[in-house]
Parts: sequence; C-alpha cells; structure tokens
Amino acid sequence: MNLNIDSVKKRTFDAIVVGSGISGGWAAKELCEKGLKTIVLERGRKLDHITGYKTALMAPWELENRNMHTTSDKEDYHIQSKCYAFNDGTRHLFVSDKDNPYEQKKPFDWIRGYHVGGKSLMWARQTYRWSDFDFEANAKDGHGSDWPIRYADIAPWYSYVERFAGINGNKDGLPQIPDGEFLPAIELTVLEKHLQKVIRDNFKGMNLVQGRSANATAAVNGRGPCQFRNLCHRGCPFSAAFASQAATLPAAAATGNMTLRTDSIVHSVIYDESKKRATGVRVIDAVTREMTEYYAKVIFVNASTVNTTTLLLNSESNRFPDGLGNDSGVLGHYLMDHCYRGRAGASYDGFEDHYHKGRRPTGFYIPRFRNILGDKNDNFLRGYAIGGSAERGAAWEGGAWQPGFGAGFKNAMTKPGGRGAGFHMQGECLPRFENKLSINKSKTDQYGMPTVEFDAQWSDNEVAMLKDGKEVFTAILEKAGFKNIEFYDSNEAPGKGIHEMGTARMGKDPKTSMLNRNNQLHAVPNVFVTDGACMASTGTQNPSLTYMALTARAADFAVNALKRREI
Amino acid sequence: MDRRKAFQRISLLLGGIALAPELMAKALADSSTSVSAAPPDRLRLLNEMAETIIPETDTPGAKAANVGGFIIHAVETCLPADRRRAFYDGLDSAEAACTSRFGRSFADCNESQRVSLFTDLEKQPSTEEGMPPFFTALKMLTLHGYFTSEIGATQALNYDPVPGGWVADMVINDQTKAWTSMF
Repeated sequence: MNLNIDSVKKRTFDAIVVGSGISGGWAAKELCEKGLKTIVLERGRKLDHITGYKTALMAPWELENRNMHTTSDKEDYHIQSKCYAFNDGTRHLFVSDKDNPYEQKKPFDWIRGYHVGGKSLMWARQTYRWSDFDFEANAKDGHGSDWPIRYADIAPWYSYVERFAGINGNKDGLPQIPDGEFLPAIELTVLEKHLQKVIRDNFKGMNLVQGRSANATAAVNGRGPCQFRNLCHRGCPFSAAFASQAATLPAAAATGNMTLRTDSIVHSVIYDESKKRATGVRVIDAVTREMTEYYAKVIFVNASTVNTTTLLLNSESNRFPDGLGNDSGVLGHYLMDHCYRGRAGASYDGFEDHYHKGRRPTGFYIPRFRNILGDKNDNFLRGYAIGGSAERGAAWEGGAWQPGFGAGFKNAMTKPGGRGAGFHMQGECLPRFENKLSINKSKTDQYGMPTVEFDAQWSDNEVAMLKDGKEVFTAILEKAGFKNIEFYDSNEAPGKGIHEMGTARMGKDPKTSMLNRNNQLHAVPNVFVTDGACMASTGTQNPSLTYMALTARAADFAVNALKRREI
Repeated sequence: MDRRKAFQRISLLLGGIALAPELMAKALADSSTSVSAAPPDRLRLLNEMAETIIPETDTPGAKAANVGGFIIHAVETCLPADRRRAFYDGLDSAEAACTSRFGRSFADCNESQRVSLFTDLEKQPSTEEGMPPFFTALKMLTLHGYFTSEIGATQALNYDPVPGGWVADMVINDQTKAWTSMF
C-alpha cells in the first residue's frame, strides 16, 4: 500500500508537457522557470545536443551515398524523403514510414521526427511575426472562427521569445511582418539586391527583404554565433541554430525542475468527472510497451499538430465521448497547411565577377502583398508570401548538360556556376471543415495507438493564387532581366509544407472552437494546447515563432491561474 | 525561403545533378533492389571513362578519386532497377562500339582513341523519351562522384567547411575556384 502511494507520488508533478519540439520545449522552459516541477514526455528517443549530432561535422565524402537518395529511401521513407531536409546527413532524424503508417483518404505528406527536439532540429528556422492582417482575417471574410486574440495581445510575447531564441533580420518597417528584436541581418547577394531594387521601383506594395531566421548571427544566451555552414538540419554543434535541445530544454533543466522522459508515447489524457479537470496522462513506454500514469495539476499538449489532436481524440470519457474537450465537434477539423505549389526558376547573365563566401542559412522573403494595403484581387481571398534565393552555385552541378570532357572541361567545372533565382509561393490556406483528420481505433500501430486518417485537399482559393503567382513571378523576373524563366506547379499534397495547422483551433465561441484566448480547452481549463493544432488560420508566415510566443504567453497565464487557484 | 532549396531548383532548370533524384523517382513500378554482381573489369572501365572526362591535371583526376567505385555504388544503391539496367546497357554498348572499332576495351585504348569514341558518344541522342542519354548520365555521376570526393572537394575546389561568416559580395577573377558544395 505504502509502496503504491510512493509510486504515485513519484509519478506526480506540478505540470506535464507532452512533446519536446518547438512548443513543448518552450512550455518546459517557461513552466520550470516559474517554479513548477515539470515532466516532459517525449515519444521519441534521446538525442543530446551536440554529442547526438552524429553527422554534424561530416564532409561530403563521408556521407554514405554522397547525398543521393537511395532506392531503399523510396521504400522505407517514401513520404519523409519528399522533405527538402531529408538527405544522407539527416535520414536518421526522420521516422521510417514503413514503421509508422497512416491512412490517406486523400494524399497528405506527414513529415515527422521522433526524438528529443522533434522537428525543431530539422526545421527551416524562418521566423516572422504575424500581424492583425492575419489575426483579423477570419472575422473579416467569414472563413474560420475569429481569432480570440489580436496582435497587441501577442506582441510582447514575440519580443520575449525573440530575445531568447535569437532571430536575425532587418527592421523593415512593413506592417504585415512587424519588426522584432533582431540580431544582425544576413546581407542579400548582389543579384538579390538587384531584384530588391527592381521590385521597389516597379511593383507597388511589394518588398523584398532578408529572410528572417532563428540562427544566432551574434552570440545570444551563450549560443552561437552562426558559422555559416548551412548544415543546420544535421544539428548545430555551434548552438547557433535554434533547436529545443540547444536552447529551451537546457534552460528548463538548469532550474532543476525538469524531468525529461523519452520513449514515452502519451496514449490519452485522464479526465476526472467529479473534479471537472484532467488529472494526468497515460503513457505507453515505446520500449517495454508498458502503460504508466503520470499526474499533474496542469497539462500542456505539444505533441505537434497531428499527434496532439490524435491524443485528444483518443482521450475518451463519459463526459467527452468524442475526444477531450470536444463539445463543439470541431476537433480534427479545419486541417490546414501552407500551399507551396507555385515555383519558379530563372537564370541571369551578369555580375560575372561577383561571388560570395560562406553558406547562408536563409534567403530572401517577399511578404504578402495581395488584398492588403490597398491591393484588391478579385480571384481569391487573402494572399501569399514569396520566398527564395538568388545566388551562384558551382559550375559542375550543371556540368553534365554542358558539352565536352577532358582537361579544359575539368577546369571549367571547378569554377563558380551560373547565376539564377528560385522562387516559391507560400499561400494562405483557408480553414475548411471538410479538411480533417480522424483516428481509426480498429487499426492500431505497433504501440497500440490508433492510426491517423487524413482527408484534406487544397481548395479553389489556394489553386486560384497559383495563376496570380505565375503572372507576378514572370513580371518580376522579366523586368529584372532574367532569362529562361520557368514557372511550375509542384502539385504537392497538403502536409509537405510541414506547416500543418488547425484541428483543435482557438476561438471565442466554445460551440465552434476547442481553445480559448489563453489556449485552454474551453471545457477542461487545466489542459493547454499551444502547438500548430491551436491555429485558427494559417496566415502567410511560417508559424513556429507564433507557436513559441503563444506557448510562453499560455504558460504565464497557466502559472498565474494556478496561483489564483482557478485551475 | 532557403528551406525550399531554391538553389536546387536553379540547377534543375539549368540541368544538373539535382535531376538525379527526379530520375530516380521515376519507374518505381520496377524498383527491385537486388544488387547485381558487378563484373570485375567494370570498376576499371568506369574509372578510365571517368578519368577521360575529369583527367589528372594540376590536380588529381577521377581515377585517383575512385570515381568508378562511386558510380558503381550510386548505380547499385540509388537507381531503380530499370534505370540501373539502362545505365549498364549504355555502358555495354559504348564498350561494344569501342571493341568493334579499336579491337580492345575502352580501358586499354590510348588517349586519341578515347577522345574519338567519346566525341561520337556525346552526339548520340537518348534511347528513351525523357531520359538523359548514357553519356550525360555518365558525366552526371562522374562530376558528382569527383567533386564530392575528398580529392575533388579539397583540391579541385575551394573547400571551406566552417566559413565562420558570410560575405555577400566579393569580386573574383577567372582563376577563382568554386566553393565546395555542402549539403
């Protein structure tokens, strides 16, 4: 009996954080720093900062396949290998699709990394603030639930997380991407500056800026500075690229309040009907397959969008037969991703005697310009941002298509290559009830968890943007004197943007949303969701900075609410 | 943003090694991974062909970097079965053309015979719609193998593993070598 009490005591904390990715790491840091004994439950394996980055310092010739995809990648990683960051140096950071199956009623590329830090290791680190153009969008055109917050609510939290995370960029003075607390910018290339000027002089409302990124270009909190290797996806041994294990988790650990348990797949949240509160979680040990319960006063669910909603859907009780907090019936619905289908490439003759040194971890960015600030497009709602880079590669990379062989050919192949630009659209995705994920309890995975089924597709609105994008890309590139301009539709499925958002959205009305303005479940006030699942719309900006800010804000609220004995 | 590897798109457009994964993505219907045993003289043949494309100059050539070994690895490990077969068919037919013309293997030909053969080979169109001709595939693999080898990456190119900073613009001359590509 005493043993049992001891065991329960050992498994009781002030707070539980599910997941150690971008938002889970922030939840852990904030809750621990505010004095809460916190257990972080990570479904994947241990992966230590620096010592765990086994490929970080490998030279090209040390990579097994010299960065080529293998035929077995197409079998074991048939989804993951579509990801831009999947290569010889990062393969071990992606899940095996063979071992982690899911159903696709319609194609959905679900990109995952199951280890400490999650996708915060492999993310692209592009970090932009949202503005009220985004927070007001749902209310203005009626698609989706109105965001229960506005820019003023989150602005101080953006500053708070930027100062810790280390975000580089310029103060550009553009209202659609408000300025933040920036580390030194990463200068644009000569060709990008040329594009910048052409756009400024000829395309009203459009601005080309440096892509802001979470790479510490100056030392911040003992991290960095960036060494400009651009091998961030392998894990940064200089701690300059933001990742949970480089930044937030060490801060959480330093308080002495954090317990990190890996190989811990959270099965469901335990709900106590008499207390009207969640009391803990059930955890499947990924190694032993044993189920254990952990208890806490407050629970942050940060398992990443799809797994967070899977976990809530799998948390059934008499009170919540359709998933925890799911009185509205919207849990699993309004699944969104940014639409990256529109791409363009072009070559440029000129600047022959210009080159660069180093490898940037970013490129350029053209923030949204459609349907804001006086622009009005009748063919679609909202808009898109444009990302890309314009720089010089190495001649050999295109050399197979050049004529010749022998000594002269070899010499030419050792030189810098042609100049060119690559553009991609990043289109806002409207929230649609029909786009959803659900769980299949009759088909479980190797751990006994229900499998996920996706049923989502791009809507006419996203597709309509592609035509505009083609015209805009072509006009810019022609005006700037580029040649061989080619636009194409990658026709990629949702998911591949790896900005999966929604499915447990925030909102003002409990009848149409899951979470309130503090990211609390409307119906279960001691459960918080602050990862992509909480998003009520996608904006056109990369979302991770907003997850960070929402998490820090919600953790602050949660701790104060605990003190006031409200939860 | 950089995440979309705009750069790969450029080299795709201009044509380049970035095409290789695209090629590999095709023909998945026939993706048997059984590794065929490479005949022992194939390594020598491929090293000699690669050396003819990237010879020893003031820096070592493809043979010293064992580019032939890389090509065999890439073909066996990275190409689906039908692409692998197409590559070896192309190799066999180039070797057959050499034997019928010069009475010996390409590996045993002298410089002028090799140049003559490759000059002809380079003119041959692809035998398959939408696929590069054999000589283009050979060059693609040779360039990738050489410039990602330690010799190619550190001697033929300007290897800068830890740049330590970013210089957005520097003036170069026609002797300036490209930075080694890191992925």
